Amino acid sequence: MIEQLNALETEALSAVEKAAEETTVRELEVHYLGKKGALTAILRGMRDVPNEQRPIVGQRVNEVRASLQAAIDTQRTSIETARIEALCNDPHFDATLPSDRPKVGALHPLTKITYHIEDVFRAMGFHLLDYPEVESEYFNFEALNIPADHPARDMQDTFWLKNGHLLRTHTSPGQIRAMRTFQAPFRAIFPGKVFRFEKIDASHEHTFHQVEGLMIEREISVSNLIYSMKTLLDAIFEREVTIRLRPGYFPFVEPGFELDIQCQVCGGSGCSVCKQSGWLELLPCGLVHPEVLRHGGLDPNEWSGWAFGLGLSRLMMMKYQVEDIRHIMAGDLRFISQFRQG
Amino acid sequence: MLISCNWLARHVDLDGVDLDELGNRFTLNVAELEGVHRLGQDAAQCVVGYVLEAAHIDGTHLHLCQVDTGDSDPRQIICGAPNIAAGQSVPVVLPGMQLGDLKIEERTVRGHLSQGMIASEAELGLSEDNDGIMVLADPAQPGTVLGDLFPIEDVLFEIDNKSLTHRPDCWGHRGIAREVAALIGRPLKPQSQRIEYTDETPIDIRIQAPEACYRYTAVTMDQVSVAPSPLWLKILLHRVGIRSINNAVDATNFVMLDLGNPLHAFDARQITGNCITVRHAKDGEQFTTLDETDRQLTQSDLLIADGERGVALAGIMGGLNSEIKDDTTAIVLESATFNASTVRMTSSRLGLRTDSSARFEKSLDPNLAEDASTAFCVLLKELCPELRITSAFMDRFPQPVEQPIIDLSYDLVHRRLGTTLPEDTIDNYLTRLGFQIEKHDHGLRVTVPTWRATKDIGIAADLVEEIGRSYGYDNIAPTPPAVTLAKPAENKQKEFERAIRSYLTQGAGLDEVLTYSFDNEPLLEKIKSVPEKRLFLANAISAEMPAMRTSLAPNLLGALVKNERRFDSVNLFEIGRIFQPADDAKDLPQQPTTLGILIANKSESSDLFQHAKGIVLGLGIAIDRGQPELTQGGVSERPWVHPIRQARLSADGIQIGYLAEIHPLTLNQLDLGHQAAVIEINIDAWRERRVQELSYSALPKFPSVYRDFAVVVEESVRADDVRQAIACVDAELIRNVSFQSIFRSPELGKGLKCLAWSMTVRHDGRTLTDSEVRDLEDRVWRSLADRVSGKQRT
Repeated sequence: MIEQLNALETEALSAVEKAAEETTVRELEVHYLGKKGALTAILRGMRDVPNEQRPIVGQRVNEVRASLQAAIDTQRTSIETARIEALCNDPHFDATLPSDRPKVGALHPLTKITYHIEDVFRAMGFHLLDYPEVESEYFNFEALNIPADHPARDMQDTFWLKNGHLLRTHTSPGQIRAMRTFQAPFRAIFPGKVFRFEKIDASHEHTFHQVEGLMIEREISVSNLIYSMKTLLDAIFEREVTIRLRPGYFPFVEPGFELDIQCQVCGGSGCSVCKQSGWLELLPCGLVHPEVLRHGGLDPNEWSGWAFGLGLSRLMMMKYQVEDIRHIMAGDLRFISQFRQG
Repeated sequence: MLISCNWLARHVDLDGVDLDELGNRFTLNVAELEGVHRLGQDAAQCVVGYVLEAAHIDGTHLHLCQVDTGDSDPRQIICGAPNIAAGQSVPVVLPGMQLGDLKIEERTVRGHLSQGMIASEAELGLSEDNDGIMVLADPAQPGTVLGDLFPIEDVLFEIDNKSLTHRPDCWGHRGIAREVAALIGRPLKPQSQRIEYTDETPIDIRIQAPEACYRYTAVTMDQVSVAPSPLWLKILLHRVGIRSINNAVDATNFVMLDLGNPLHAFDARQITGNCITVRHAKDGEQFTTLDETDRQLTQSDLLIADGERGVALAGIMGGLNSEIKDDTTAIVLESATFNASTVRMTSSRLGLRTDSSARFEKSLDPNLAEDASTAFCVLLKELCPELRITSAFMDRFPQPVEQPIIDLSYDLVHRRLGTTLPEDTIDNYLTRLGFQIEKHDHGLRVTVPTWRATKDIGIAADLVEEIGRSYGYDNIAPTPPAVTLAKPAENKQKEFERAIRSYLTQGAGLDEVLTYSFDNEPLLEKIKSVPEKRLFLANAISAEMPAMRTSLAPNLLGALVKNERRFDSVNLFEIGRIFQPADDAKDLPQQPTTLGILIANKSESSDLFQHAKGIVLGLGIAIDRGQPELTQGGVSERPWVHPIRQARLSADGIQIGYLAEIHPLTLNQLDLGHQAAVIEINIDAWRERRVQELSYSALPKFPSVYRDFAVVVEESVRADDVRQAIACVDAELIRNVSFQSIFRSPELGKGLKCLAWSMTVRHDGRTLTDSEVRDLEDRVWRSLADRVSGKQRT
């Protein structure tokens, strides 16, 4: 029986040593050491071993089991080590091989700039609102103190519908709508598409985008307007901007202003971007005209406010240095795809 | 508009004023200056030369001249001008001088040395006259610097016209000078002008349209000798871009540019009946304006007529029939005030914008008409000393200008500007600008001058602006507004749109586009999809965009056409409004915010319906509305919708849109090599649907069992019917039936398909036994056989 055990050990050790695959090792383990394996089969012969020899044979059985198990474990470890080494030792690995990444689409750059503006205002407690593109003459003109014979009401500037309505020429009708909804006090912005009857070229579009801002409180002054604009523009441009107000005429504000920001290209010393003036005209703003407050249902003796209108199309073109305004509405993927998210 | 500082100096003393600084302050306090231009510095350096001799050089058009320029010896100059002659006083540009881009040097022409250049008025930038060299009317000492004889050097302010639209008073040099005087704190020079009127040839004025003509004045004069204008006048006109014609015409232009009120001078010979009638034209009335263009008038146009016929288009342009000619000796001068809209409507209808119409459109002060008439008479008398005024100042002025009186409290000024100014500073700002003030307890009674009253200033807030700009907005310190603490705004609509965009770009890989709110008519015609009911524009920008869009799909198809050649795969979306006419045209149309998705590619094998369906189901989950329900078929008639491969989309039982492949015929009509699918969803409607409540149930304590079913059915059987045949067997135990794959093969048999499903089974209270699961499986197969004739795949 000892011979049987010795022969088994020799045979098994040699087989284990030759095993190149983990599965082979596993098979050998089952074959020699398993419940129905070769060693168990030999053990069954213990019945026939004389009693005095049993401890010796028993010891030998344990020795063989231990040596086989040790050989199997060693072989398994070395196979695993070799496998990992092989995995970690691929000299032809090529990180430059193009991958098949999930597709990520592009937000329109105008949406991106709008988001940025909305986030700034939202953080300061402004409502974000949206108003219709087809407007009535009342909301677009009359309620905004633009008299019936004002040139803006001409066919030259405004798209009229055959039914007498019009396409809003600015986001300002939202001022009246917002005042009527929220009364006072409140603050809100309303971005959106606006329309001017205009032939298009690289710097003119009949369809473009604006954002209107409105704050209604008990007492709003020019001094408050300057502070508000400066604070908001610092946030929008993400840097300290220098602004100045100069007189500007818009029937729905009084006083009305053109707001300039100091040219960021030259820092105010004059360059081709600012036409040597050191300033860039950015937005019209002003204190809400008493007539406009009245049309919004507010008593101008009780309430006052400021309003501004910012050209989003132009701001986007400034930010990304887009050379032609027509790209915005053209749906050209060569343009859009340059604005992919991260 | 160009403003000459030399001209301004006729009205306000500018000595010692830094004009660049003035320009800057003008921009900040009055209106935008687009530029400050310095002119005439070169020309002013020229010297007077006396032509001693001018000998023709044979075979050329040149003259060899000897010119005394005040040096010890005459200099020799070659001159090509036809009008050169000995005995003339001429301007000479000496060698080494610069004239614009031209550098003058001694040079040799045809073998003769030329030591300088004799210049024309145009070369010197003094007028447009380039017919020959300039000859000084009054000889001057040779060698005198030209700039000492004439005001050649000048500074021009270029004012942005748009920033003056509300300032009728600023459309002439005197109005600008009034602002400048206030800015620099110097007085405006008075206009002292006296005219001797007579009564010889009165003219009868009738205003038949008083709503369109607020004032009409006329003066007649004779012994006018039409001649070139003197140099000073030519220079000033040239500086501001007006071509000199003759003294009479130049005088009307000068007064218009000086005071802002346009004038018109008629040749008195052509005015019949000694009368002027201001009337509306008759529909279809023909009139030839002095630009020799025949114009067809309408009743809304205002015409100036004599006893027989029209002689001027009021406020816009005179008639060819009565223009000043070289032999004119008697003039009827019109100085009038016309209604701004009347002038503007006619001028824009005829496409005839003139310096005159541009001014009347601003609502001029009728009082200006008298000043302008007077100024013209004074000027023309100066230019033609023989001139005689032959009428009285004939004036029809039915309704004098009302001057608003505004109560202004100092408190309001402080509150609106956010600064505290001394009362006398406020008073001073107003009086400097011509407002009359009367102090009372807490403020002022302010009378608005007529030149600001016609349209500009009517309420206290307008005066706050006058005070604010006089003070200078740069001097107002910024202070934070006192704002009301309010509930945070919800902004649900914008957040919803953002969630959609976020999923579509980052989850579904689509690109966002923006397209016009208009219909793309050529495309709609090509795909035979022109909608019947839509909102038409009264003034479309082109016939290609005649109406408001009623759907996003055609514009997205347009974008596909645009990108088709460059991109094999085009995946787009747009969020924008579409427009549906209201039942009552007086109401605003419905303008629902709509999501449009278009996916297209050139792969024959891809199932775009499936792809689009995946996007819209995923979107529903991403925006917390749950997967929308799809109902096959029934998409209302849109020609681009595939007749079969289409489904309606609804949420919570409310229809929100549709999903469909693009009709193959549509793809053909658009010459597209792509196949495409489209989704349109009314996102206003979707947003209002229930937000999916999140609910949690404890993790199962007992194991789930999974069983797969490969079900062979007829092609006509729909997948969802198969799924339901499985799921309905035990609603409690069967937790999920998920689709694995679809398979077709010849072995399977023609007209058959195999749908593979995986079923999840679990009991909440115990582990299911094998026999229970086997029993369930058997029941599933029976249900499949009964409901969809499904067989197990062998």
